[in-house]
Amino acid sequence: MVRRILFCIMLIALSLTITSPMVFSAEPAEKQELYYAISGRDIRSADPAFGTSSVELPIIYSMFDALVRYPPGNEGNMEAIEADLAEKWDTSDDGKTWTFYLRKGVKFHKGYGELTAEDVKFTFDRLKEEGAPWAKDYKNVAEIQIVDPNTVKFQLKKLDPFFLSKLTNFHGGFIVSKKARIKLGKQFKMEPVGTGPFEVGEYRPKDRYILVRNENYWRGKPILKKIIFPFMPDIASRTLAMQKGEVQMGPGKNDEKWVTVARKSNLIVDVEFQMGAASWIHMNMARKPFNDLRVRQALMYATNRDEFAQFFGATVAKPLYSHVPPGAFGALTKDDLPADLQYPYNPEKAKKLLAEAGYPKGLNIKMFLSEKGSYMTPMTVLQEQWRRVGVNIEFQTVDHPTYHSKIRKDENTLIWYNATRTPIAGVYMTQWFHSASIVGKKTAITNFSHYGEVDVNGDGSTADNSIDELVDNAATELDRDVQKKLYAEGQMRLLRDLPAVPVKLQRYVFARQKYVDLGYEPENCMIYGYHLTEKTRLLKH
Amino acid sequence: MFKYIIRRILWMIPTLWFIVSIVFFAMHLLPGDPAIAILGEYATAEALAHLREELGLNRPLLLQYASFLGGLVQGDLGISLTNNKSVTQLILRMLPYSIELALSAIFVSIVIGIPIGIVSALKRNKFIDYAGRTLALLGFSTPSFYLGILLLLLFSLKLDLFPMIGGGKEGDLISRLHHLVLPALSLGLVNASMVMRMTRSALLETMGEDYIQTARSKGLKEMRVIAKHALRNALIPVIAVIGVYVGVTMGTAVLTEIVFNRPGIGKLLVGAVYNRDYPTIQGTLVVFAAFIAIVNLLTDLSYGVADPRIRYE
Repeated sequence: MVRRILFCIMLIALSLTITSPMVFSAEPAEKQELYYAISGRDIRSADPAFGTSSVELPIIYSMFDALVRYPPGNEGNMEAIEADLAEKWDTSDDGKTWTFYLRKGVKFHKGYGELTAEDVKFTFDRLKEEGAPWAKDYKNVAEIQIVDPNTVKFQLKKLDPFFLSKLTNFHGGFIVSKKARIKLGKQFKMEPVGTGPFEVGEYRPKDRYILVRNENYWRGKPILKKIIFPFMPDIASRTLAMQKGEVQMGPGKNDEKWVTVARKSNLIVDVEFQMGAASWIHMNMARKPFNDLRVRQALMYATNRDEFAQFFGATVAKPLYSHVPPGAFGALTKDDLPADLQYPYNPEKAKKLLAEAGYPKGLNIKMFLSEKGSYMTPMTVLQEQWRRVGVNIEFQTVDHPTYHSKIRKDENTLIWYNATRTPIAGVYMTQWFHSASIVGKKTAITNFSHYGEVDVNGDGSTADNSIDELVDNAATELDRDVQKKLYAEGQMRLLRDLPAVPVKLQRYVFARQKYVDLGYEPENCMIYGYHLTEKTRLLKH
Repeated sequence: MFKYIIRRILWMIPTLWFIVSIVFFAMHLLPGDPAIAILGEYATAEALAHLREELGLNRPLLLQYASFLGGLVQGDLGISLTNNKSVTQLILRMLPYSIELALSAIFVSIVIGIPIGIVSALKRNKFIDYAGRTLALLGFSTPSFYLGILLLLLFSLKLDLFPMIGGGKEGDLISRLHHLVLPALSLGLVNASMVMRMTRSALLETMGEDYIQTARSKGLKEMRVIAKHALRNALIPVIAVIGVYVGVTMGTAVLTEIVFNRPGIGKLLVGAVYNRDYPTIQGTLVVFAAFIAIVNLLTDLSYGVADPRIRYE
């Protein structure tokens, strides 16, 4: 009898354990130590001038502020830009002079004194002097003047209606300590100094990066005491660690199945909150066979973008119809495009175009490809799609840095590329399709197709084979509607001339434990990960 | 014996020099640019050129080689190109974790492999022998990183008996041991399969020898015949395998280090290769090579303990 009672009690207890949901109090947990998994083997740089990869951005964002910022959870929305280190600002009538009035009493980490205009000037001057990747975003800045210790003036060469977005907490906008940069020298790369809610605790190469709270943070002492970023490149162990709660948040796997399984466990999975990375396959039009428009059109018709969305899952991948991803200011969607520029999947038409171009039996193309999953997997899908129309792609796999080195030396005729940029159509169009950005030039960025300098349709002329004028005019146009029209025309031209095949928009998957309170609603995010603020906390669980 | 040890140590010097030289030139022949690995794909051409100059990557290869050898002779393994930290310090930080993992994996393989191998040999062709051999086959066929994930799933996630990530708190022995159990099992169980098979076949061969028959005819108890006479000789080839496995385990531990998120020089080396961090690659491989040479020496010396007929001159 006693045994039966005990057995029933055990069953009831067991069922409660399995079926009862974890209940979280709104009270903060006693231990405010957060583990945030990083998917890379290590970070390349914690210095915001050089930290460009998805791996280091969550760390950098926690350590620095900017003159202005997107509110947490609402990044990329230019209408929402608000004051950060600058209390207020004003612009001259001609739009070429911007004056920022700094907050007083903001202190740098590690006792490096108070923020002054000198630090702001130094931050942006060093981008050019040190050859930082973000320097190109500030080419239009003629001079930065220190008016007084709390006032700084930016003098622009040309009017730039988007200038404020370049000073936000994104890419080059993070303000660093001049004193620390000079004193620490090379050490600054991995142990930089800013004004953000968290400061460097310890960097353990190939192991983890540790941040500790900035006790004197000007927005208020952060709730989290410590953030540990273990480097966990293996998705299986990262998933298990997140499910167990030894790691409270981190990147997941960018596919539907992972999202479904993770949501069934006790994780919140965030997918829709970031703009995502656009993927294109660029074709080098300076070389055969891609100098022929019919070949490029054929490959456009041979690409089944809906199949990509199916392969990765509709939650994480969407077809991309324009060269500018949706969500960016001025981007066109499928509905904005005329039928002939939507290029619906049509393998028969693709074969016909290839035959007309002189390739009735198809083509063989060799290319280098990065071994990174986000490059290899979709290219494998594309390889199979193009094989159906007789185009055979042969990959030579190289590591990711080598791939980027080679494509910038113009060694590939086909280039797969994934990227997220400031959500303005002009930024995407400039970096990938402006003639000044052609690889190999001094002003090179990532124009792999040589668009803007080659004859795109075989008529012997390069006139009207460029979007340079449209993009340049939009960059100095104050009327938003006129800007949108210029960007729209540029995108139509790109779809007509096809320097690249727009393939998909990939959303990255992130997960967190339910007891992680970010301190804001993650509606829009531009970085590859969660933005941790002074309000982020762990709840009792 | 002393002269033998000194001679072996002296032989290590040209061996290490040879390995280091091969690695140096092979790394520089690989495609990829350390400057891009350090600054990223968005770096300007000027920044890349400046960095190459600063790091001495533009110097003639032989000059770089001479500079590296000069530093090595003075015990200076250089500065990591990617994080500006002393390579010696990086290795010294990671090496204890790798050694403790390798040695504990070997301990697991010995403690599990040898007894099962002995029982399997003594109960030849019985059910227990078949079971032992099947387990050995399973262990041998299972990649250590996969076994690691299964162990994490069961013992960490489901049963919450062991931690999932990290190497434990520095200076806290209990914490370090607690974090070591699952990684050591995942590496050790795979090695145990080979040790088991080796023990079984060596013991079966020894048990068939004439002197074992003599020992039995003298009236010695079976356990004494096995323990005092058969096992000692059977263990000689097993010692050889274990010695090899120490080196192999150090080299293959990188996957275990990644799955369990443990610090270790395997991870250090793989990360350095990806980033073309030449000083870290070269420094790590020097340490690996020296470690394996020392383990080989100790393995050879242990033959003398197992077999008194072996003398070193």
